[in-house]
Amino acid sequence: MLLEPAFLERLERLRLSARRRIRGAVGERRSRTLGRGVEFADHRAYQVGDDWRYVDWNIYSRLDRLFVKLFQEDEEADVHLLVDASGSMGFGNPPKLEYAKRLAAALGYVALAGGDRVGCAILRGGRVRALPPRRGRAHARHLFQFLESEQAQGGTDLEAAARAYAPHRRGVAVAIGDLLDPRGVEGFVQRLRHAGFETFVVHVLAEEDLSPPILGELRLVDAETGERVEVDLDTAVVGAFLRARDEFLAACQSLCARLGVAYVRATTAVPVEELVLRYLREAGLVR
Amino acid sequence: MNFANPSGLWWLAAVPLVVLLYWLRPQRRDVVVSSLLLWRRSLGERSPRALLRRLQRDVLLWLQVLTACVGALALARPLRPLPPGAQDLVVVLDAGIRMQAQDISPSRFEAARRAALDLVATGEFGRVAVVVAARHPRVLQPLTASRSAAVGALRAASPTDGPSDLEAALRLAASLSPLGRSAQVHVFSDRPVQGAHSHVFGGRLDDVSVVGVVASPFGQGRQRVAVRVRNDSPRPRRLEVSVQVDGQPAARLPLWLPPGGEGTARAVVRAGQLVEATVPSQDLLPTNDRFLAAGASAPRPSVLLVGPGDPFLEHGLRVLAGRVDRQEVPQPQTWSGSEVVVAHRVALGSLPPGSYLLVRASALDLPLRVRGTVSAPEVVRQAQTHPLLRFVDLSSVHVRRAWDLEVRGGEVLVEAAAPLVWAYEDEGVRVVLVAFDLRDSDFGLRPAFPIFLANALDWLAGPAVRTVEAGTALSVPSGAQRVARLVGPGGAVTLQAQGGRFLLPAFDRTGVYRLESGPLRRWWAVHPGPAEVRGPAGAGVGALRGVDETAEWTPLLLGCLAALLGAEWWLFTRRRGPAGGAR
Repeated sequence: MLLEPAFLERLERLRLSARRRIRGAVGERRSRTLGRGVEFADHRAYQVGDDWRYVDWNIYSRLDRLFVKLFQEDEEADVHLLVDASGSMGFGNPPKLEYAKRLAAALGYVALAGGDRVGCAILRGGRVRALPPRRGRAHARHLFQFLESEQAQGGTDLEAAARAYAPHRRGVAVAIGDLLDPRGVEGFVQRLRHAGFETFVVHVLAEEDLSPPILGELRLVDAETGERVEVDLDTAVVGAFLRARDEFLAACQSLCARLGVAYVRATTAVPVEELVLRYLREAGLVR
Repeated sequence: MNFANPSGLWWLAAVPLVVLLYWLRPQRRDVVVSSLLLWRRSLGERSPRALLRRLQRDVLLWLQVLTACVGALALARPLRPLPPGAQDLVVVLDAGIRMQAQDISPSRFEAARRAALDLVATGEFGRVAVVVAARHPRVLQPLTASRSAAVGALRAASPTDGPSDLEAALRLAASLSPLGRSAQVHVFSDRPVQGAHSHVFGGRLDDVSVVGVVASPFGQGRQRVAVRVRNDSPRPRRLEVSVQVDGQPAARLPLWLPPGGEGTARAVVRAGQLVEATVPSQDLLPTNDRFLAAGASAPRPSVLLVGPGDPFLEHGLRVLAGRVDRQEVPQPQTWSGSEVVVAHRVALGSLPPGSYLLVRASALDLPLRVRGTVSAPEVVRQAQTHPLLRFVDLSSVHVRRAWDLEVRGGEVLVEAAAPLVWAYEDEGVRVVLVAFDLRDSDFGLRPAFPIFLANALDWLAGPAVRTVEAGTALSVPSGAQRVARLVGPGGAVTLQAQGGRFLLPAFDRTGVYRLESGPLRRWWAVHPGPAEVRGPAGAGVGALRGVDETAEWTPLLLGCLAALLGAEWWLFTRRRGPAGGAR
């Protein structure tokens, strides 16, 4: 079981929020389309063919001109959970993938509880293994099973995975991963954004990613590729690593800010519960 | 470059060992990381210094190799020459008997002395010291900047009839040089030495010498005399050995000796105290043609037995002592007439200075207390290296009852539940105390008893040996006496008792030495010694090489070693980080 019952109970009180209105089928989520609905949004001048029922006769009596009332259309939104399951996500204690899976399960459950359709995509190399979006709480069990079956392996090519997944889908995309892509993550985020997703990036890192291992003569082994690099880890190298780490994190954050994508960074040391209930709330992903 | 300890260079073998250990050191540890992405960036940043880093790593190896090399060099103690005048001079003048040989006019010793005086006068040295190599080497003049003092010391030196210990003299010479300062050691002898500047005077000596005389009792009023003669000349010698007893001719013994051989002439002559053997060799070293020895009837110490006495004790003393007087009631004012006072089962008051053997007897002023008696004490410890217990074992002696002594000071020689035999020495007083009565033990029946008694008399009255080799230095218990007069071939000297003993100067010349102090009368027959005390001169003087015209690089190398170790430590910690981690 990915999530404890008590945590699920607390998740039911949350809703996934999107900063933009999303086009979709009928649902609880407000779309940016103005039309039929119950919530007044605006007026516009009458045009031929408009439904007479929406003419605002009060304004006509005052101004002697025809205006029609516009209402906010309620549309449902698809929530896409994109989980990076490359080899590097198996690193850390607990492994980052386990953390990402629990986070995705929590967010999926929140969305399902809010009546949204939730799909999930496992990104590994340039390939995608997807669980099609479905609505209803019963879908949570499928989502959990889908996530639980995943293991960290393979390389990372986030842009290719986004290219393979994004074209036929709309809605909210929550990308969860360590973003350690040798090709960079800009293409990945751009793809999601251009596809029309309202995108959230949750950058998951292990403590071991942030702090280098013990000093000495080491052979570093890449968790994804198995590639080895001999390094005499002294204070100078560690200093250079820390600088590279800070630059990488800053680059990820500034990229998302530049593209208008919400960005949240978390380490596996922070419990998933605290991340969802506190930090993602503060970031506006849930409310 | 010379080395004071060349064997230290064997430590250079550690260098390949260091390299081997470097290559065999544990392999790099595999550490899995999420991705090498960030590591590549950080390492790439340092890539221009990759060569430097490799060199830095290798620098640690080279530093270790260098440290091993410098350490081995330091152990080998390399030497560097010193400029003239920057060194001291230590003159070692051989004063052994062979230096009296007259193959060089007027003698080897005089020729050596003149050469030494020339060196002191003309050599470019800082300070000068003079050491005389006799049986017991001694410093005639410590290092001094005064040439006249050194010249005076050399002129005051005289040859001895004893052997010379050049090796000990060289060690003594080496010890004169203060730490960190160098001295040249010049040896003036008839034998070459190693490790010093050797000035040799004379060569092989054709010599016939008397090397030993032994006299033993042979019936009433007679003694058997054996005379050992050595022929060091290259031709056989037919000799006639003259034997005199107490200055009167006693026998003439023919003897034929092959070249390099020894022979013994024996005769039975009348008893006497002093036996003198002479060979008329007409050689260049007449000193060793004459040999003096104590005769079979040489005097033994006088003993006063105080107390009721014991048959075993009395019989033993009669055999071992020269004269045994009896005294039932202690009269301390009369004790000074005997060399040893033996007290048996008697309580004494204060002990006047003297030597005492107390058998179940005690005195008021001894640092002991008799707490009672102990029954059947069993020996648990014996001080077997003490001269009193030489060839004596009391472990199987049965004692029925002994004093329960509590002693303060002195030395417990045989210990059971309480001290059984105790030796004590203080200003003018020497005491051996046996804490049990001979009648309460079987000690008197044991062979160890007369040996113990002889040892006790030797220790209390001084050794009974009357025949000594030239160069020997003795000490004699002073007993009740404070002043003594020693008369020898070279004249008379007055001696003061020190710590209950008379410390006699070395008997450097052949002849009879007499010590007179109140009732104390001692004499020694001093005979010539062999040419040298031990093997070839200079055989064991390797350690002297540092005390020559060179100084050692060792302090500098040790400084370098410390600097290298510091650099290694700095490099190592710099690579490792201050706290061993980089969290």
